[in-house]
Amino acid sequence: MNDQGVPFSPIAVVGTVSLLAAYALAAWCVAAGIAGNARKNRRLVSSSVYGLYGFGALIGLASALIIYAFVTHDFSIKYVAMTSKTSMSTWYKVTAFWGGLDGSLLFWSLVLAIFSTIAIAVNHRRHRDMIGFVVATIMVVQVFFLSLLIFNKNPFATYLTMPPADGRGLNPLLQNYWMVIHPPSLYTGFVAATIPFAFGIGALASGRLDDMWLGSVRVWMLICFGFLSLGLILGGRWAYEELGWGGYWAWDPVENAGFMPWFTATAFLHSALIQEQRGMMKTWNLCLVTITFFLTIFGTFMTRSGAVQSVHAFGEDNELALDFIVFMAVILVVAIGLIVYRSNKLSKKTEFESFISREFAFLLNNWILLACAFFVLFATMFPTISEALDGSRVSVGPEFFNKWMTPFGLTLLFLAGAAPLLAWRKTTVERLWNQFAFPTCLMAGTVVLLLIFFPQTKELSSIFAEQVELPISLINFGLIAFVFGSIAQEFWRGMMVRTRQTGSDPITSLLGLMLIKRRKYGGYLVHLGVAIMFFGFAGKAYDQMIDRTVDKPGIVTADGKGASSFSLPFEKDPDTGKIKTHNFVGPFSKSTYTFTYERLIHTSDDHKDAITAQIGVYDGGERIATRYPARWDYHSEEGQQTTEVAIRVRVAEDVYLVLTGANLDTQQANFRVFINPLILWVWLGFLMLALGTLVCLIPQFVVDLVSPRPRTPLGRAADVVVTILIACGLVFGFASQAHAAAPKPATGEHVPEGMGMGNAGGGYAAQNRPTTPVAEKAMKELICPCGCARQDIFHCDCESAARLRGKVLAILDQSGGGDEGYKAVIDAFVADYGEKVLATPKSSFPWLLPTFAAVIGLGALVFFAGRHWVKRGVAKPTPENAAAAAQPVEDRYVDKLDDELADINE
Amino acid sequence: MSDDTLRWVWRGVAGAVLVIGWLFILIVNNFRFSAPVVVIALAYLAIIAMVINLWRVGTAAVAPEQEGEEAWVRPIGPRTELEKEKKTLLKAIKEAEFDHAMGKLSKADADEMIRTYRARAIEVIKELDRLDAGGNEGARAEIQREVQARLALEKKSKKKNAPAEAEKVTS
Repeated sequence: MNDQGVPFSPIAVVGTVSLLAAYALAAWCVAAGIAGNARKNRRLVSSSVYGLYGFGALIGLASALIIYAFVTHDFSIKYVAMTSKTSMSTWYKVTAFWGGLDGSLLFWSLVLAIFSTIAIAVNHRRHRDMIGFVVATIMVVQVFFLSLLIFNKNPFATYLTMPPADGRGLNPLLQNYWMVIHPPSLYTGFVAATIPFAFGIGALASGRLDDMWLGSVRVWMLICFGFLSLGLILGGRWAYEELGWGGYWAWDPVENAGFMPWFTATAFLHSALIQEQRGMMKTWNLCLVTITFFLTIFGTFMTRSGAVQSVHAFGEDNELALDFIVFMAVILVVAIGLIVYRSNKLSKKTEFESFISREFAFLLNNWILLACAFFVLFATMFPTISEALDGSRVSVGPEFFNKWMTPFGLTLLFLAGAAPLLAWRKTTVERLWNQFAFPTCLMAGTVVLLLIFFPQTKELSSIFAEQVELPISLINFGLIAFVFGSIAQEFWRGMMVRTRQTGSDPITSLLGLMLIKRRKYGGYLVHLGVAIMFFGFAGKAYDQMIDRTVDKPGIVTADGKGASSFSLPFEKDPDTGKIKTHNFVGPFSKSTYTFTYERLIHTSDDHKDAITAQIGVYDGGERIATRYPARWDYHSEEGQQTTEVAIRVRVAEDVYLVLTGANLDTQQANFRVFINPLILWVWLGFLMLALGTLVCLIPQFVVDLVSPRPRTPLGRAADVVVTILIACGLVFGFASQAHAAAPKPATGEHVPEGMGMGNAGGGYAAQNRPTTPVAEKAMKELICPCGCARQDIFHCDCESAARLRGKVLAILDQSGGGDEGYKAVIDAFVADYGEKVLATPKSSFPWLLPTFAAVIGLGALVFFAGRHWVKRGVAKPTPENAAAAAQPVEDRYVDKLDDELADINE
Repeated sequence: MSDDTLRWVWRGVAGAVLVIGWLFILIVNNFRFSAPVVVIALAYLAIIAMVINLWRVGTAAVAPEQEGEEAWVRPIGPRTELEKEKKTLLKAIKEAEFDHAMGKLSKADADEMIRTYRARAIEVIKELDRLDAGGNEGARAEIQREVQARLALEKKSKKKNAPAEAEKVTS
C-alpha cells in the first residue's frame, strides 16, 4: 500500500510501462518498415527489424512479470485475483496467464512476437526488398492488440481499494491437463496465420510477386494447420473427459472459431502446390492467406465480443466488439486494395489441360473447403444475424451443422483418396482403371461385408434436408476403405519404383521416398489420418445413452449379478405398451454390458468435496473393469459441481459412465451410461495426422544429412533401426491413447455418513426419460433454456430439462403421439419460448442461402476451369513450346539439361 | 579492431552481464530454483535483450548513408525469372517420369509431356547462357553490384576505425 492507502504493485507498474514502451516501439516499426522499403532505405528497414526483436523482448518482459505476479500471489492485480488463488498448484498458476480475456490477449501478442522474431530472423536477408513491409504488417497487428491491452483490458490493472486476501481461482473446469494445452495450441495456430498474411502483404506492397514469398510462408501455414488441428482435437478431448455429455464436438461457436481458419489453411496448403507446379492461382493464394488471417481475427472477435453465446466465450464487451470490427474492416480494405492494385502483375495466362488431373481435384477440394468455412461462419453467426434482422434470436443446433457438413466431409474424403491417384496436368484416361481398380474394389468389398455382418450401417440418415436420405454410414465406411486403398497403393507403387530406380532394398526405398518426396507422402499420411478420424466419426450414429436411478449399492456376486445390477428399459413397445428391456450391446463388438453399483464414497480435501461411485463393468458376465464416476464440489465455487466421468476405453467402443446425482443419506445414485462406438479412432486418427504434418515439416538439412551414402551393412542396419523406432513410436503413441482418464476415487479424508454434501446433483437426468422414439426425437429438437452447453433437453441433466421433458411427455399423451404429437410439442414450445428453443431453424433462409452460395460457388469453379480449359487430354502447344520442339537441339544443351536433371534430388 | 571482433566483444559483455545478473538473483534467493526465481531470471533475460535491441534500433536508424546502398535492394531481373522457370520445368520432368512409372501416365503421354518440357527447358538454358555471356543483366553484373555494395560498407567501417589506428601508430 502507498501512503494514500491505495494498493501499490511494482510488478503492475513495470508491466504497464513495458506495454506502453512496446506500443511506442511497434508504432516506430510500422513507420520505419514502410518508409524503409518504399524509399529503399536500408537503415530504416534494419531499424524496424531490430525494433521487432526489441518488441519481442518487451512483451516477453511483460509476460514474465504477469507470471511472476501469479506465482507470488500478487492479488493487488485484478487479473491475478480473478484467475488464481493461493491453493492452486504452481502449474495452474502459470497457465492462468491465458485463462482470462486480458491475459489471453497478452499471450497472443507474446506468441506472435516469438513467431515473428523467428520468421524475420530467418528471412530478412532473402527478402530484404520487402521485409520492411512484412515487419510493418506484423507490427500493425501488434499495435492493435496492444491498444486493446492498454486502453481496454490491461492485465496489470490494480485494485483501487483493499485487494482480496486470496483470489477466486481458475474455473475448476479449466483445471485439467487438456485444457492447459488446448488454448495455447489454438492461439499458436491463430498467430501462425499472421506470418503468411504479412508476407503476402509484403509481396503485394513491394511488387515482388514471384514465388519466393510462397516458399517462405508455406511452412508457416503448415505450422498454423498443425497447431489448429492440435488445438481442436485437444478441445474435443477436454469436452469428452470433463463435461460429461458423452460427446466431443457440438459445433459450439468457440470451437467453430478455430475450425473456420483450419479449412482455409488446408485449402491454401493444396492450392500453393498448384502455384508451385503450374504457376497458377497466385491471386487465389493471396486471397486465401488474407481470408485465413481474417478468420482468425473474426474468431477472436466472436469469442470476446459477445456476438455469439457460448459457455466457452469470454463474455460480452461492446467496446471490444467495435475495436475488432474496425480492425477487420482495415484488413479487408488494405488487402483487397493491394490485390486489385497488383492485379496486372498477378494475372498469368494459364492453361488448364484436363479435368482428370490433380489440379482440378485440388480446385474442387478448395471449393469445398471454402464452402465449409463459410457455411460454419454463416451458421455460427445466424442467431446474431436473425436477431439483428427481426429481433428474435434463432438457435442453430448440431443437427443443422451435421446435415450440411456431413456431405461436404464425405466429398472431401473421396477427394482425399482420388486426388493422389491422378497426375499433374492430365491423367491418361486408359490408365484410370489401373489407378482406381484396387481402391474401388476395396471399397466395394467393404460395403458388401458391412451389409452382411453389420446391417445397421445401411440405416438412412438425412443430409441437406429431411427429405434427402442416404445410407451415410455405409458410404462413409466405403470411402474410408477407398482412401486406405488409394494411399496404400501410392506407398507400395512409389516404393517399388524407387527400389527399381536406386537398387536399394524396399525399406530403404520407402524411407528415401518419404524423405525426398516428404511433402507428397507426408500429405498422404495426413489424408490417412483424416480417414481414420472419419472412422471414429462414423461411430457417433450408433451412440447409446441411458439414465438409471439405483436405490442402493449392492453386494457383488460371483457372476456379477445382484440387486444393484442394471441394464435399462430402453423403449416401450408401441403395440403392447410393455417395456422392452435389453442389455447394452456394443453395435460393432457385440459385447453385452451390464453394470453393478457397488458403493458410494465421500471424501473431502482442501479444495473440494467429492462423491464417487464404484461401478463394476461386465461384458457377457465377465468383469472387465472397475470405474469411479464422481461429482466434485469445489469450496470456492459455490453451487458449481463438476462431473468426473469414468471411461473404459475399448477398440470398438468406449463405455462412458457419469454420476448425475447421489444422495449420501439414502445412498441412492443416478447414473447416465453411454456406449460410444469407435471413438478411440478419432484420437488415433489425429496422431496419424500429426505424424504426417511432422513429415511435411522435415527441413532440407535433415534430408541432406541422411542422403545416400556408401551402402554398408551398418548403414542398412541403421535404416532398419530407424524404421523400427518409428514403428514403435507409432505403437506407443496409439497405445497411450487407449489409456484415457479413468479417475480413481478422489483422495482425501473420508467423511463419515450423515455429514457433508447430502444431495449431489439431485438425479434430474433420470427423470421423465422418453419412452417412445417420437418423444426422443422431440426432446432432441428442443434446446434446454438453462444456458448450459447448448444441449437439448434429451441430453441436459439439469432440473429445467427434467421439467421440460415431463411437459413433452404430457403433450404427447394428450395428442396421441406420432407426427401430430410431435408437431403439437414443437408448436407449444415455440409459443412459450420463441424459435430460439428449436435446435434446427425452421425458416427457409438458413437453408436457402447456403444452397444458393454452394451452387454459385460450383458455377464459378466450372466457369474458371472451363475458361482455362484447353483441350481435354491434349496439351496445348504454346508458340514457345511448338517452336522449341521443332528446332534441332545442340548436344551440349541436351547434356547440360541431363546433368541438371541428375542433380535434382527427386 | 575489426567489426567482427568488436561484435564478439559486445556479445561477450552482454553474456557476462546476463550471467552476473542471474548469479545475483540466485545468491539473493539462496540458490533455490523456485518458480518465482525462474521467472525473474527470464524477465532479466528479456531486459538484456530489450536493451541490446533498442540500442540497435537507434544506431541503425541514425547510421550515415552508405555508398552503393541502392544495390542492397535486389530487383527482380529476367535471370531470376528464368532460373525459377528452369527449376519448375526440371521438377515437372521428374514428376512426369515418376507418374509414368507409377502408372498414371501412358508412355505416349509421358513422352509427349517430357518432350515439351525438355524443349522449353533447353530454350531457358540457352537464354540463361546468353545472359551470362553479356545480356542486359547477367550474373556478372549482379555479382559486381553485390561486391560494390559490400566494399562500400567495408570502406565506411575502415574510415571509422582509421583515427583509432592512426593514434595507435603515433603512440
